[in-house]
Formats: sequence, C-alpha cells, structure tokens
Amino acid sequence: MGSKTCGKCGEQVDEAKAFCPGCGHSFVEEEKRTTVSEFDGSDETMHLGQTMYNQLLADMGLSKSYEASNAEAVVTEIRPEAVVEIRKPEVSARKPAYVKWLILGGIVVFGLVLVVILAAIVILYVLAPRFS
Amino acid sequence: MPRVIENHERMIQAFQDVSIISELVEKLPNGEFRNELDMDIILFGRSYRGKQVGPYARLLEYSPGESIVTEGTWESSIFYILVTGALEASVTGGDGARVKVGEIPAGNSFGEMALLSGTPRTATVSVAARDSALVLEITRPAIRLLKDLPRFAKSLDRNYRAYGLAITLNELQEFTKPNIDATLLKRFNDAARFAVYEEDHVLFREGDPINRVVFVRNGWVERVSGIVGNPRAAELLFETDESVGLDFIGAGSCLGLDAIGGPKAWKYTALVRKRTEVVEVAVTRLREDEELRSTVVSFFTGSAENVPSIEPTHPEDVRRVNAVAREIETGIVDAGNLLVMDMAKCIRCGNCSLACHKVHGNSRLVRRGIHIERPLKLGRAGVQSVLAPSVCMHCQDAKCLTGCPTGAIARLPDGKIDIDPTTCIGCSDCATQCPYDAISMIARPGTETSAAKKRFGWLFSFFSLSEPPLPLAVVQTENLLAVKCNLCHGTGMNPPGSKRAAYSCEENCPTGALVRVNPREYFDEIKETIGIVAQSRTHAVGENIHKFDLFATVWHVIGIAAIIVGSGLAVWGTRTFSQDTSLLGPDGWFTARWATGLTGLACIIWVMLYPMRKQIYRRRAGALRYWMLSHIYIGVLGGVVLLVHGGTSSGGLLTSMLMISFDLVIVSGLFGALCYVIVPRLMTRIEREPLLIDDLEARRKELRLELANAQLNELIQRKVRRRFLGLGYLLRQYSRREGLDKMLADARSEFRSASESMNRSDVARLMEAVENAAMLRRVDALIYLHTLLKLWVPPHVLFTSLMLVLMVIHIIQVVYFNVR
Repeated sequence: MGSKTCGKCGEQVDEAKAFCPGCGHSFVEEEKRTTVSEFDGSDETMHLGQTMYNQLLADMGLSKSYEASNAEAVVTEIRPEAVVEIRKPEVSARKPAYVKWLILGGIVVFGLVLVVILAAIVILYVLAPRFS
Repeated sequence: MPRVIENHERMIQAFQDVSIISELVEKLPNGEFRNELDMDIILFGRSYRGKQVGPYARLLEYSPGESIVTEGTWESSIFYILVTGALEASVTGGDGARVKVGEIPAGNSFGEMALLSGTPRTATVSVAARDSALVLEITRPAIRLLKDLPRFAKSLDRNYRAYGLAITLNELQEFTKPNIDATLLKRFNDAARFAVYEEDHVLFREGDPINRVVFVRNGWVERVSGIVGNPRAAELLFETDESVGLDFIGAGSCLGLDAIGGPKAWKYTALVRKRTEVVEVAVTRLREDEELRSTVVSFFTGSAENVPSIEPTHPEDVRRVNAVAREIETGIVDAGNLLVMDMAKCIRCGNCSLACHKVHGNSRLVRRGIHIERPLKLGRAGVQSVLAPSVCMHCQDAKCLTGCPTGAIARLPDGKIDIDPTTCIGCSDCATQCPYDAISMIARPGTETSAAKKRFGWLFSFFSLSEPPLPLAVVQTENLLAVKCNLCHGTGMNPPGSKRAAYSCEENCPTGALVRVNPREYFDEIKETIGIVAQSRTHAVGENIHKFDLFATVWHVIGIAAIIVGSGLAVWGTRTFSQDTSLLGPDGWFTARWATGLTGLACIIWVMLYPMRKQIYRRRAGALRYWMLSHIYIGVLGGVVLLVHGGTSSGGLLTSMLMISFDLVIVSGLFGALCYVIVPRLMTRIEREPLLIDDLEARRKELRLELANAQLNELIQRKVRRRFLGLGYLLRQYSRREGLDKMLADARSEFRSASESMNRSDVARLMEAVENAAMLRRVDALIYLHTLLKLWVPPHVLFTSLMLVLMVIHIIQVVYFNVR
C-alpha cells in the first residue's frame, strides 16, 4: 500500500487517507468560495438595525424624547454647603424590628381568632338547632 | 489486583522504554537528568513545606486476562501507557457479549479519551490471555508537566483524534446496526477525520461550498441564517427581524448531507458554542463511492432523533430559543448532575441549605446562581422559572480538575467529582478555576478557627428560637481545605448498599422545589436538539418531579379521598348511632364519640411526626415533601373528625378551649398551606430574577437612605412619597406584576408634566427620586411576601402546643372518669 507525506506536518500517511492522522490536514481537493463572503466584506462588527438600536435605547430608559437622565452627568449645580439639607435616614427613626413583628403577629392571631369565633357562632347558633 | 512496582530504577527504566515519555528521563552529557524536577514529582513525589505533591505515576504489573479499564465507568482522572505486553480493547455487543475492537501495542497510551473529554470509558481494556503486562498508570496532574515534552504532546494529540474517530464510528455502528464489512469500515475511516473545536469557532459561513459532512459527537453548534456580519448578532436581532433564522443543534446531529448528491453551498453559518467534537467526512469521497455514501447516510441519520432541517428558520417561539441559548451559554446543559429549583414551588425556607450544613458541617449550597425562564409549552404563556444554584454540577468538561497539583479532586467511577481531604493541600486552585463558584475554601477541621464551638452549644441551639448564627468568615490563609458538593457521597444519606442515590438538599425540601437531574432530560428544548446516541451521557438519576411526581399525585388522590370518605363516615356514623350510643352492644363502652376521638388522636399523632421528621437531616427518612403532604391531608381529616367528635355542645371550659385551640391550629395551618401555594408563584412573577431576603432588605435600606437624602425635598415629600409609598401602589405590585422596566417607565411618565418647568438638573434629581420610590415599593412588596411565608408559623406552633397540652389533660380526664 502506497504512502504520501503530509505537506503540513511531514508525517508519512497511508495513500487512502483523506485527512492526515497527525495534524488533520486535508488531502482531498476541496472547493473554494468564488465570491467574497458578506462577513469578510464587512468590518466584522455587529450591524444593528435602526429599529433594534432604538429598542435597545428604550430598554435602557434612554429614548430620545427623554434626555433628563443624560443631562445629570453634564450639569453640575454648585450650592453652598449650608443650604443643602441632609435629612437623617428614616431607618434610624423607625421602631425596633420586633415591634413590627409583634404588630403583624397580633393581626394574624386576631384574624384567626375572628375566624374561629365566626365558625363557633355558625356551629352554635345555626347548626346546633338543626342537630338537636 | 495488579502488583505495584516501587523500585525507583525500574520506574525510570519503564519511562526510558516508552518513546513518547522517554524525554522526561533523558540525561544531559554531565549525567544529570534534563527534567529532574518534573521527573522527581511525577515518579516519586516531593514535599513542599510539609505538603506532599505527587507522585503522579505508578508502575503496575497486570496478570493475563486482568482488566485495566472498564467500559461505562466515569472514573477519568487516570490514563495509562503500556510498557511491555499486549492489551485488547473490547466493547459490549448487542447481545451482551464482549466484542474485540482492537489491540494496543506496547509504547502506546490509552484512557486519555475519557480524561480529556469528560465522558465515560468507551471500551474495556484488558491484558491478553497469553502474557502479563507492565503498565504505567499516570494521574491527571502529570499532563500539565508532560505536555511540555514534544513527543508526548504530539502522541497525545494524534491518539486522541484516532481514538475519537474509531469510537464514534463504533458507537454509530452499535446504534444503527448496519451490516457492513471491514473494508467498507476502513474506507469510512480513511474518508473521515476527528476534530475538536473551541467555543466561538466558526465551522463554516453561509455561502461557503459544502466540502465536508459534519457529525457532532459532543458539544453544541449554533446555526444562523440571514445575518450579514458577525453571527453572534443573530441573538440580538432574531426577536425583531423575521428574516433571521436561528437554532441550535447538539450531539448526535449531522450537517451537510444534502451536498452528497452534488456541489452545494451552506445555507447558514455554523458557530461552535461550547467545546465541540466532530467527525468530518470528505464529500468528494462520498460522491465517488456509492456504497460508502449509503452507509454514511444510514449512520448519521439513524442516530438522530430529529434530523436537523436543511437550514434554520425563524423561531416560532423566541422565548424557547432564548432559553436554549442561555442553557448552552451558561454550560448547565453539560452538567453531569444538575441541581435545579423551580422558583414557583420554592418557599424560601432555606431548609436545603440547612440540610447541607447538617450533613457536611458546612453548607455547599447557595441559593444564588443561574436563572433561566423557559416556556413550558410552545406558544403558551406559561413560563417556568428555574434556578440552578451555585453548587457543583459535576461538569463533563470540569475545569476544576485541570490544575490540582496533588490530584485530590478527581472524578469517581460513578461520575461524581469529589475532593479527597487527606491529599488536598488547600491551594485553592480548583476553587479559582470553577466558573460557577461551587468550591469553597474552609478552615481545615481541627484548626483553631474552625474549632471555636461551645461545649453545650447543641443543647442551647435546640431550644433557641433565634435564627442560627452565620458561620464565621474564613480569614486564615493556611490550613485550608477545599469543599464542594459530593452528592452526599460517604454520608448517612447514601449508606453502603443503597440502591437509590439520595441528596440531603433534595430529601429535605418540603415542597419538592429542588431536584437533581440530568439537564438533557429535564430541559425538553435541549433534549430535542440532541440525537438519541448522545442522550444517555450523564450519570444523574433524578426524575423530573416538576413535570410529574407520581408519589405526590398518589398522596393528593388518597388525601382528598380520605378527607371526603372519612368525614362522610364520621358524620353518617354520628347521625345514625348518635354520639353516645354504644357500638358494641348495650353495655359496651365503645361509642361513636370514642371512635371519632381515637381516630382524631391517631391523626394528630401522625401529623406530629412531621416536625420530628424535619429534625432528621443526616440519614434517609423519606422525602420531606411527601411528609408535608401527609401532614396537611391527615391534619385536615383529623380536624373534621374531631369536629364531629365534639358535636354541637362545646362542653366545659377545658373542652371548649381544646376545640378552639384545635380549630386555630387547623385554620392557621390551612392559611400556611395556602401561602405556600400562592406566594412563591406570585413572588416569582414579580421578582423574575430570584432574590434572597437579605439582598432585598439591604436594597430597601439603601433606597430609604437615598430617598431621605434626596434634594427637592418638598416636591418629593409632597407628591412622590404620597404617590409611591402608599397602599395603592403596593397593591398595584401584586395585581399588575409588570416588568421592572415598564413599571419605572410608567412612574417617570407620571411626573413628566411636573418636571416641565424645572431645569435639567432638578429633572434628573426628581426622576431619580421617582425611580427610587417606585423601586422601594417593589422591594417592599417582595419583602412582605417573604414575611407572609413565615408569618403563619409562630401562631401555628403556639396553638399546636396549647392544643397538645389541653388534649393530654382531656384524655386523662376522659380515661379517669370512664374507668371510675
């Protein structure tokens, strides 16, 4: 059986092989592209359509009708420090966490008690006379 | 068992005898070894600052007929080189008999296919019957050093491709079972090549001539049509542009068969999305050889469940393609055993994480991770929100395995990846490599930081009502240990001899939100893209209980039937016999009241088993989700029966109190069950991306602070706060469940007219405050839902305790009076 030499890696290869087992080089004749691909002709970057571009802007809250958020970075208003009133965060003025839990728990317990009382009324005053 | 040869000179001689690795032990003219350090580590191991690194090689002598590698096992941290002797490779035939597929001559390596591709062993390799064999067993860390040897690197590459081609052809032959002779198979082999492509490689472009038929053995390929420029743009454009075609194909699929008849061009661009192995067949050979052509077509089409269309079309449901893209992009489809959480079922109780902590001493499960929204059915509105938490998914192509200097982290024969704490030196390499943050570094048990426990801490924690403290942050840099999910291997969850794998997280989820699965089975949209030949390449055993849970269905049916029948019987019995008529003759003590009382007591005893089951984490005690169902159904049944037991008269103070406390238990329990059903679904629809309560609370604090510090105080106080921080806007969150972007856009538009007279700077401040206030209400809405999931528990436990005490007194009282 004849052999041939791979032009890429120099390995001696069986004549019947379509590809070099050493480096994968192709020995069979392969068609080449006759036209330039659109990708090769382009600058290899994404071409987003105008519609898509606008949609992306809108998704980011940057639609052209609203420019206020962009302006914030550009315009800086300088005021004297004394004028700026900085409020204390609300967090510190809030009630302790357990108070909130107590209130919520109380509401739930009250609700449940109410349901049971209603059920008891139904049983005692509606169903009881029927059974007796 | 092979005999281990530890003689240093024989080890060096064995390396010298094998040409592909002999460079490692080559000597310089002055007699010293050229690669002394590498050789020393690989052959004998070294100690660095008291930590042993290596050896990575063992010389083994196998007896005639002995097996070295077993087909189907996942253990893939080792490869072998035959020094002397002869080996045979065989696979299991269709009738279960061994079929010899080749011989391995001395000097060749084997076993590297499974090691490099992360797949199970494809063949059994055993020693020929006539002679013993001397084999070098080399572990994965050695590859890092050996790949610098030119002969070894080339040999590894060549063997990988040769074995890859042979194995693929063998798999296809086994699967499609054509009757082909050896010469045809050789022609097939000669016409094909095996290739491996990395992510983002473009296989071919739209318009290129088709020169090769491409069969995907492993990995994922994206097909794109109608795109000028970069094919990745298709993922952005296809939602709006109907001329763009996009789909994905996986292992077991074939491309380019339509060009066998004559020259044609590709109608789409193919882009490799993850490391992909393919077999390419030269089209010219297929056109020349009719017999080969028909064989190739039968091979490649017979192994695919869904033969890919000639070109990708515009997707019918873009959500589905988005889901597939995300599943492939994040790599979760290549998980060997994936943990998924259905967020519509998750009640955010954290029991999964706690169970992991209880079993392993440190939780390896964090409820953050990869989130995917997938449509349940094509064209339908229903969406499943799935979270794959940051926990080891036992990847096929596991990055963590590549750099470990001691081989402590390795894949076990059943596929799971585990870390051997005795050989782990705490270098953090695996933790750094893992792309999913699934490996944690902890203080090695026994070192000072980790041993800071109170002597009777367990006793205090049992009676404590406060939340358990968070584990201390690891601050030390020495004496570390890498830990990760090992599927509860070697724990009480999987005792020796157990037939079914059990995982503490899955077993202790009260709603069945969490399950370990084979991603290729779980995600239907992925299953449709891969051929049948590749579907079983995983070691996960979990069933998709999110789609259908047989035992849960059985519990629902039995539970509802038991409530209806049991309640009917109790009412009928009481009305027929009256409460205090003896059922066992005129003088018998066993009345209908006793019957209902004892039945109710049995129900309560069963129901009280649930909290006891919840305390069992370290061993199997039945999946908690089924215990939960039984708790609810039997609890309701007991409630109805005891209501009948009480009758129309509430009796004295004790029995009245007992009945009221019992009713409160039932009502609070049903309220909780209702919360468990409704709240997670509502929460998931509002939040979209799963959020932890800690994150929400931290965000709320930030937003409150920003609002408090906002300028334009008067306007914000007067209008913004009133508009967004009221009850109406809170209820809107629950009723509309709109996306965050839309909600914020609406909020801004409400204040657009108010901002017309302002300067641009004030407009920006106002809009920021508007967004913060709206966002704060969204965060509030989610926090309230989290609270609701826990709020019912304290009253339920409180009323249960009261009821149990009163019930015991009632039983003593009844028995006492009855006996007297």
